[in-house]
Amino acid sequence: MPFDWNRYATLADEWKESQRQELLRCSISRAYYAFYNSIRIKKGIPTKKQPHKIVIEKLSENNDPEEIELAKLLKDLQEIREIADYDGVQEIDGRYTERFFTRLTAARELCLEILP
Amino acid sequence: MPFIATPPPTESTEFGKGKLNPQVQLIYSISNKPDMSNSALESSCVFDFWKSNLTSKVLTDYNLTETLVEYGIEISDKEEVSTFLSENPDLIELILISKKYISKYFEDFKLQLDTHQDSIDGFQSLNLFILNNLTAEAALKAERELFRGWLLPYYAKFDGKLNIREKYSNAF
Repeated sequence: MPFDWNRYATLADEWKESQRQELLRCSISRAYYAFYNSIRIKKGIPTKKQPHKIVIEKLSENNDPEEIELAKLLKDLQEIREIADYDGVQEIDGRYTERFFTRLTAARELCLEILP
Repeated sequence: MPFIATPPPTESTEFGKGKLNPQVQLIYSISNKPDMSNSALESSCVFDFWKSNLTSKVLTDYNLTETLVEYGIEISDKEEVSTFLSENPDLIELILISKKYISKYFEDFKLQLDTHQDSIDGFQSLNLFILNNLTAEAALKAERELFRGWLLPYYAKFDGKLNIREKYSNAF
């Protein structure tokens, strides 16, 4: 049975209000992957070479304004997630996490509208 | 003025030091861009040089990043931004006109340019951050209105190589 990526989202929700930076970082990372994988699966893209880039390109290929906006939001989220995963200098605090989740919520809503 | 095909200059020119190489001055004196209809020109090494090097070299020469800073844009890494823009000169005009459009959606803001390289795919892009102290919801709303109202066709045209994104800053 395939893994349910929403379990990542559940973990992310549990950690996103934490005062511990390591949990905020994990929360951002898991929430991103839950969302990214949901779009990747909806678009029928396997996890082979350059999957993130391919998902973003796939969303942009029809020149549909809403899909292009979703591609942009996904790329934004990816970049914000990369800082949480790799940048040990930047402090990941509640404000940073809140901005990530605000963007993620907007992206999820747009995704539900255009990729039901 | 007749076209003179001469070998491209080496990298030891005075580019980037505030002084144009005489050969580049010559190309510029012929026209701002070599005539594409001229087959001799198209096949010449000077044309190849113009295509591959002139734009970036001239931009460096005119100190593009300093111009952007004077325009009110903070730049985290001038060398990286300069290199990226010299490889993607079509983005410069877009950056320069962006302030006018951003000010329609954001009241108090500062601009910051930074390159980004994807850690997995290696794809490089340029981020123009709108530094602001709005709430997360208000800032994202304004950013999305800016995207839908202005940036979207350019974002698509340049394959996301220039992104404009809001970012919190307490420097207000």
